[in-house]
Amino acid sequence: MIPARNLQKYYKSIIKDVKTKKHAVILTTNKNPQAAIISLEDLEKLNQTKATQASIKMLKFAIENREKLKGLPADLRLRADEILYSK
Amino acid sequence: MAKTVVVDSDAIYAIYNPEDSLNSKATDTFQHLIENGFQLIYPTSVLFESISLFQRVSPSPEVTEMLVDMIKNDELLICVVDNVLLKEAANIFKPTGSKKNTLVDCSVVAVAKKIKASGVFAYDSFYTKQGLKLAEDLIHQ
Repeated sequence: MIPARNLQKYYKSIIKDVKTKKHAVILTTNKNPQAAIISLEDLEKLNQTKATQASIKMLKFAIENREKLKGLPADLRLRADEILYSK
Repeated sequence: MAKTVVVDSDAIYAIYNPEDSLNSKATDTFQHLIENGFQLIYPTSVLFESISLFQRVSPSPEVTEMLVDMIKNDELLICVVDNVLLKEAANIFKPTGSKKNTLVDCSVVAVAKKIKASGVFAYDSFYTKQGLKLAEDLIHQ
């Protein structure tokens, strides 16, 4: 953890540390954690995890809300353009 | 780099419409894509189209709300269809061709080619004709 005010002074060594050691640096203000600097590799992993969780959420939603969604027309997919673009 | 699949509106319609003849197939494919570690990419064009359709026809606002919330909360991997991709899509688009293959479909192709996606989650032979694989073929490989 480092105070955010030190960021400008030590940014080179912070970036080097994050990149080589692959650990997060937490920035604090008034000793309270506010944000973190992570490696691009970790950011990629984080985004992938988030996207997987989103997909699971979407799938779960589709399964759990089957009853509620039952009023939709069976041929909705085939008539989508007609519904969207006609008055 | 993770394996990616670009989602087309057709897949979204099939997943969230229990009355759709492809509903269980689409749900299974979706599940297999997740299990096999594919990252799903949503072009902005597809989100505009599918959310607009559900807003228009859905008896309850749940699907629209969920998709909009996921956009607001930055949960989806979104690919912005910018000027370059729009141009690519316009090059693929055939105004005198089949009325079924819209500029939105062409934007899906442009996105898939740009990000070198493994395939497209869709139910349209248009994509295979463009040299792309369909998601259900990916999971059966």
